[in-house]
Amino acid sequence: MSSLLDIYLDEVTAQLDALPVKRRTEELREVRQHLLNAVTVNKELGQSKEDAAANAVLQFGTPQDLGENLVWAWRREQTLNRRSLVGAALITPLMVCLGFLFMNLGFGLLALTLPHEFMIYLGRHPVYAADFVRGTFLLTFGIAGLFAGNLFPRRAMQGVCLGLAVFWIGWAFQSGVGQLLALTSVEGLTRQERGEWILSAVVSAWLGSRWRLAWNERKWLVQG
Amino acid sequence: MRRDLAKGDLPALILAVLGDGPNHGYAIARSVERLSGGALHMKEGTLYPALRVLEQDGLISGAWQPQSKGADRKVYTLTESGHAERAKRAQELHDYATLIHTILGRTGHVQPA
Repeated sequence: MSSLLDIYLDEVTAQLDALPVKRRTEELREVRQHLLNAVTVNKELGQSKEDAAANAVLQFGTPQDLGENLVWAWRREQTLNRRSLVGAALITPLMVCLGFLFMNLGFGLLALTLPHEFMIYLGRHPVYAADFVRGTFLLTFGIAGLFAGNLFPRRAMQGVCLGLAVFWIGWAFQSGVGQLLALTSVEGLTRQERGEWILSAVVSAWLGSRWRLAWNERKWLVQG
Repeated sequence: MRRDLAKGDLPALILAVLGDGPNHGYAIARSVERLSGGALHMKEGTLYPALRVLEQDGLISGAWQPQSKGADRKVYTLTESGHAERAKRAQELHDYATLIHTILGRTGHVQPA
């Protein structure tokens, strides 16, 4: 094979680092096959070996463009595959737990650095404090939903519901079956504001998935 | 006339070419060129991401096939939903072209046939 084609394929290989080895090998095999066909035809048209290879490469496009487009196509596939339901179901409780962790760390830091003021504030403004905590919870679930929708757009909303159901059942089992029934009843969901949190996560998941799918298609259309 | 092929139009052309029968990447590129009379120009590397997208959407399927002469080739075939999508996209493009032609005709740039 022409050394020019070797150099070109080496450059394409370098661009495909993000792909799994099997996928990368297959992409390169197909590109190589295409270029060899082009070189053969160019030579049949009377071009020298060097010109045939140079024209084939020129007609194919830069390794950077090719690599970027193939990696993009692979990432698109990853976001659209069937594991998205499980992925969204896993990422949602994970993000909620992370959100709780950061929230508690924030409160802890505040209590440590300004213990006196913090306690006075809680004592004087319990309603504001409760509203603040409620708002933070809403935000935490919203961010979790946004992540799930963005990372696993195809069935994000079902995944979020599944993830939160498992999360709550696990949480409630820790507190006993009676608590489980109280938590999952309509009254429990309404009274304890869990309905709001679920809604926040599901709506955010929908928004995240819409954005991701629109971005996928836009990315495709603008690549010239 | 010779112009660059817009990437958004490439999937529709691939579906159209594969509607005539299974084919491999290089032959698809040549078919697009031949069917346009050499008027449409594209970087052939753009073909492969487009083929991946069509595979992901279940419109085509690709399989490596041994050749009597030379190395194996990955041959692409339209799926059932690919046939339906091919007809749908062809109709959409036809309607779009008709609309543009009508608008240009009305403004006097093109005389409708």
